[in-house]
Amino acid sequence: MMEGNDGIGEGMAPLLEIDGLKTVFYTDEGVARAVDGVSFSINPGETIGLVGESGCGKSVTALSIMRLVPDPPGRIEGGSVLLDGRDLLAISEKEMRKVRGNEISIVFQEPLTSLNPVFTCGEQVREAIGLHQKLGRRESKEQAIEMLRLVRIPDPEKRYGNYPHQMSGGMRQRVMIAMALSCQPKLLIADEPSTALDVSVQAQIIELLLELREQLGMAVLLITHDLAVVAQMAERVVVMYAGVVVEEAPLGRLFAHPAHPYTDGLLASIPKVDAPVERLSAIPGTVPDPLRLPPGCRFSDRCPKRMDKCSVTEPGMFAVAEGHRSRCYLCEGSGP
Amino acid sequence: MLAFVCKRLLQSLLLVVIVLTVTFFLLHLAPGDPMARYFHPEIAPETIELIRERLGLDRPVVEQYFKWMGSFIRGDFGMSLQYNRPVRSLLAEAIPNTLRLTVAALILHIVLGILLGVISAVKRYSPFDRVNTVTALFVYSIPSFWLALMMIMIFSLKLGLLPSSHMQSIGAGELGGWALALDRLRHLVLPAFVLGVASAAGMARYMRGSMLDVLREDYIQTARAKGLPEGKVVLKHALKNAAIPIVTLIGLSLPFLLGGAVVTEKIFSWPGMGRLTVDAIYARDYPVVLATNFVVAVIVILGNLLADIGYALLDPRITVTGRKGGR
Amino acid sequence: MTAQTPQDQAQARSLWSAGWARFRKNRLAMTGAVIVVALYLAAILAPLIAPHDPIEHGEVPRMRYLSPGSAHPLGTDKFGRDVLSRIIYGSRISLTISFLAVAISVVLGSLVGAAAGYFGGIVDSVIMRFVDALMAIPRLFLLLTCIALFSRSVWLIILLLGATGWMATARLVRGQVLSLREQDFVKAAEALGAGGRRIVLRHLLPNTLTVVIVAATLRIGGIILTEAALSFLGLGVQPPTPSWGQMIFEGREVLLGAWWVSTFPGLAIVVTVIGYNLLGDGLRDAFDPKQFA
Repeated sequence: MMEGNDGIGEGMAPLLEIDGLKTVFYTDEGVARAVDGVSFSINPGETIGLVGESGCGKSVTALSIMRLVPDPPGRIEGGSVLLDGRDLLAISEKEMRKVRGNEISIVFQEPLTSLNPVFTCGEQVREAIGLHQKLGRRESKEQAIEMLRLVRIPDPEKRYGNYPHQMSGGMRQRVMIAMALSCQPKLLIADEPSTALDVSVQAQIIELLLELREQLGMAVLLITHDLAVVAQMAERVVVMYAGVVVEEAPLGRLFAHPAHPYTDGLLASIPKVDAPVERLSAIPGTVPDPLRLPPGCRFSDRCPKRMDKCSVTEPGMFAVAEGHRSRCYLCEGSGP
Repeated sequence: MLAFVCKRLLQSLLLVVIVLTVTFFLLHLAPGDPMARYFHPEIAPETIELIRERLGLDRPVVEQYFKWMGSFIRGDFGMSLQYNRPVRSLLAEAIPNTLRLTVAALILHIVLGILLGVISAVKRYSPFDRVNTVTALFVYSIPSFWLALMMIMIFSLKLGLLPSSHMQSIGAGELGGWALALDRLRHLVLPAFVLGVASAAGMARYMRGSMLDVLREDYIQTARAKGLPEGKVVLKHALKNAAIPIVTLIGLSLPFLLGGAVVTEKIFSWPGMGRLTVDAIYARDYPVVLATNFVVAVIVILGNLLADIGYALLDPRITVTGRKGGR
Repeated sequence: MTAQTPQDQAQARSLWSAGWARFRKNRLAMTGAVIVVALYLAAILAPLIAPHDPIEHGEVPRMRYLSPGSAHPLGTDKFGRDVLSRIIYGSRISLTISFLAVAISVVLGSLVGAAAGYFGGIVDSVIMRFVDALMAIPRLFLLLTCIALFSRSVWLIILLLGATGWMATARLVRGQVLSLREQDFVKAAEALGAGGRRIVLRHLLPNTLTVVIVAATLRIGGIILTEAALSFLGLGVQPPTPSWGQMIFEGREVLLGAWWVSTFPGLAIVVTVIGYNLLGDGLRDAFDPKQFA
């Protein structure tokens, strides 16, 4: 199942099933619908790439799954997040705490600021283990050192007592990964895990994640704006734009036959070795302010293939092929 | 660590020297013969000549300066004109009393300040937070002497709950043991409250802001993502980060507390340095005034030195050590 | 020649109008502004609004310690003087002294701080050590010492309050100058050959103005409290000129019998200081959200 490229369907029960998730932020200027009815699912052991430009709602989706949206000003207002059939949005906060760090873990983008500066790295990993596994201080410390070894931190016994500021960015991200994986979660959410790092370190972290996934068999929700990273890791890709899913497809199919003009644009902006530099095109314009969404299709004001109806009513999701859906009128009726 | 302490110690010594210099020049900048200030109807001219000689006021200014500095550093502050006793022995009585009052106020300042600040930050925009913020603003704007009078009016005169002056009841020395301790504690309540409450309000305000900043940090999100209960996130992960700068703040609040002690001691007839200073000013007892000034400055400098060392010990990011590990 | 282009000026203007808009939306800040303006009006118009003469003694003992009533809304004191009128006239002392003292300390502190920040090096170290030393002596002790050494008058008290309060401003301005002098427009002025004093006066000080005004407003409350404490100790403005601190002192012997003598001047101080603090907080939030946050 881990090699499976065609992820959905097949009668297998999904690990995580997000349906109609709505998260809004109440700001002074108005109500921002950061996540506005997002639905997708993740199968056990599967890696999903969640892509889109910054500000499109990827990270808020991740925080909503963990129920960590800062409230106020944010609030999850609708939908469901089923983990093994249990709705995480309906359980108590106490129940939810047993899920966080235990069944679902998250690695944040900024290793420099995501570790507490006044505790040692080892203690921060140990704390997670002690919390969920009811181990004594000594056992949990031993296991924490094992975790540091697992993420390839050299000399883990000694590094256990280091403070975050004594480690490099790459090392800190390894500590974050060790902390996230310390209780063998079923799902790891990696929110731009390599973006803040140097290019050479980025590759190492991605490689580490790939290996750990093989070894531990957890599902991964990889959030990134970097399609090259997605190509390396993901089996299926979900593209988000302005708070909604605009396209969803198996990895190979998405790269070969993108159905949504936005995905087209994203793919066109990947630098290619053999292409002349002038061909490198970014999508003109910016992600719309969630307070001022255009009427109709949210991408309509930037879309090169806009039609009249695009600015009137928002398109629904249209099936394009097996496991391939797109939120674009161009795909209307083209599906199986 | 040793190098850091030595460096800060040297800096503190330099500050003491500057304070002395400032005091010296204040005395000499004042209009007229410095000795003229020692004229007092009850002091014989011979005594004045004696003081003049003792202070070396007949010598050149530079020599006077070094002599003055030497005697102050040795703790020789001359004679009080008012009591005709060495200033040093007056200070020996007053300093412990002032410290007792100040330390009690400092504890109130820290405990109340941190407690209210943290609760306000965690429950921000709640009714508690609003009441807290408004109260803090109010308390911060109250003149301490007026607050003292209001407290005396209510708790001593109207309700008769607490004594309004002195450090213990007359004849309390006979009580001994717990009864004496309780008696002294009852005398401490009002002055310590009056002295500490305003700075506690300032501390609460600072602590609220500091906690709010920390609670927005990524590592707090990480702690929550681990599944830690909110109480532990706040009390372990956030508080330790927010509290480190507080150590410096405590050092900075010392001048305010000691300055406030002047008025508080005067009102509550508390036999400390503040009251000694005020009474000395009424009596134009200059040696006492200059000496208390100096001693208070030394206490403040010492307090700041301790605060800095404490800060360095608490924050692992500051490497003051030669060895690795930061602790 | 100057590095300030029309765009800069337009930007500065919009910064001010945006700040002003923020200020007006802040209800607490506006309350503070109203309190402060009302106080200044009361001080200026004291002869018109005070119901009685603040200094002339009433007919003792008939007029002594009258409790608040229709003739004397806030009662009378030991000498049969109307407490309300004395509070109204007392605002003149508080407001004048605090305003002038802050003005002195701000000017002094800005100059010293700007010099330390601009020249740096040994000048900076010497000045800042001196500032540290002065800040180590509690203000009230320093003031009391000076008052003991010099003869007493309103002007001396203003001067002393100003001269003992400039250190915090100096630190603030120094910090501002240190960060500003690294910015391009100062470097440009330097490159064009502008002299040190010119750069400090023309370019650096105006840029620190906002920060300094905010800090000064927040400090006025503290000065009012200090002045009141001096008066309370009998070391401030001398009677019969009414001052709030001294009125509180006069009432302290009759706390139970004539509570109004001490209570109302105290409330006047509280309201004044709250007004200035609200105004200062509001200005800070409106014009300099990052600096003090």
